[in-house]
Amino acid sequence: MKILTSQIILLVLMAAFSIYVLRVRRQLTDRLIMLVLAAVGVFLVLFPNASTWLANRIGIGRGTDMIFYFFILFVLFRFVAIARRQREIESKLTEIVRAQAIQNAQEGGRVLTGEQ
Amino acid sequence: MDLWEGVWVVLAAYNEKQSIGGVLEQLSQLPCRVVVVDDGSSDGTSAAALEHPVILLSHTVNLGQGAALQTGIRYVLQQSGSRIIVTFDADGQHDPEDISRLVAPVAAGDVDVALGTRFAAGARVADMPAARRRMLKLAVAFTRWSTGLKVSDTHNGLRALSAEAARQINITANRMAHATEILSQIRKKKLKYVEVPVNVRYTQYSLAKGQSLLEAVNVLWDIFSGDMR
Repeated sequence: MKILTSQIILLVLMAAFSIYVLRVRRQLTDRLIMLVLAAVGVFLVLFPNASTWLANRIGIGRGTDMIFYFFILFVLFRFVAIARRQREIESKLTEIVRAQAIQNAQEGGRVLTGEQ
Repeated sequence: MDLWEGVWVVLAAYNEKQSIGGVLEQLSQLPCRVVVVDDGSSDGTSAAALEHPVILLSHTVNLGQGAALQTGIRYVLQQSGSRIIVTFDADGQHDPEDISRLVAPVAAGDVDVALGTRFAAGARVADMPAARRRMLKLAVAFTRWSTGLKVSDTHNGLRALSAEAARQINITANRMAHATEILSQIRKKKLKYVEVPVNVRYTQYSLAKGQSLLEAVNVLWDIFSGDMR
């Protein structure tokens, strides 16, 4: 089997991604999902025809199309998850800022200035 | 019991230095306590507010009008003897004279919430541009449909809530979707409400501070993305 330059580049990137996931992501489920995806990626780089074979089994013309469809779904799921996380962070921030504002309540009074 | 006993007015202010002094000057003529929530202003709104006999709460960062109102409401509920909470806009579009008419039905125990409306008989609305009217009517139609509450004005910042009602209504929509959220919680918690005609005065200033059509899209986004639950 002849290894192409593109395959080497993609495999190196996949390895880098795996290391990154293991170092940065803390949640076990997160890590597992990402590593499984990387493993699938490595497999598809080494056996490009496998994706077309699988795509044909489920009624999709080309392997790239199948990968593209799944990619879109994956991105949508991530988008929703990130949006939810952002809302959680925002509501925590709100609670902190609110508590601080109430704690530091100031009392105003009529201050005499030079203006009429 | 005295009408004004335990009445607190809550104003959310974001960069309202220009208008807040005049508004607080008028409010200080009334026998009630006033809480100003400075929502992370950068123009010296806090300093302007502190010249008046008010309680000032400052958000260190800008969170939005809904969050600011909820901060003021939480503070008032912690004060002993608080009975009625009035929300009031800081841009000078409301008339302090209207407050007593909103407080009355709540103080009498007839309703849990009194909502100001500019689209009912008896309301005086000065200088409202046609475009603003159209947008508000659209917002009313949408909110009536989505909350199931048949009110004539859905985005009026002038309201009076009993402390009990304020305790039940928890504003989680930090930005402008809170107007809708309050109404949907009134419906969910089966709170009794009445609409009270109020005067609204539009100025160049309040219009500039008001919501544009583009903002309406943001509000819809907040509503549908579940910013409010």
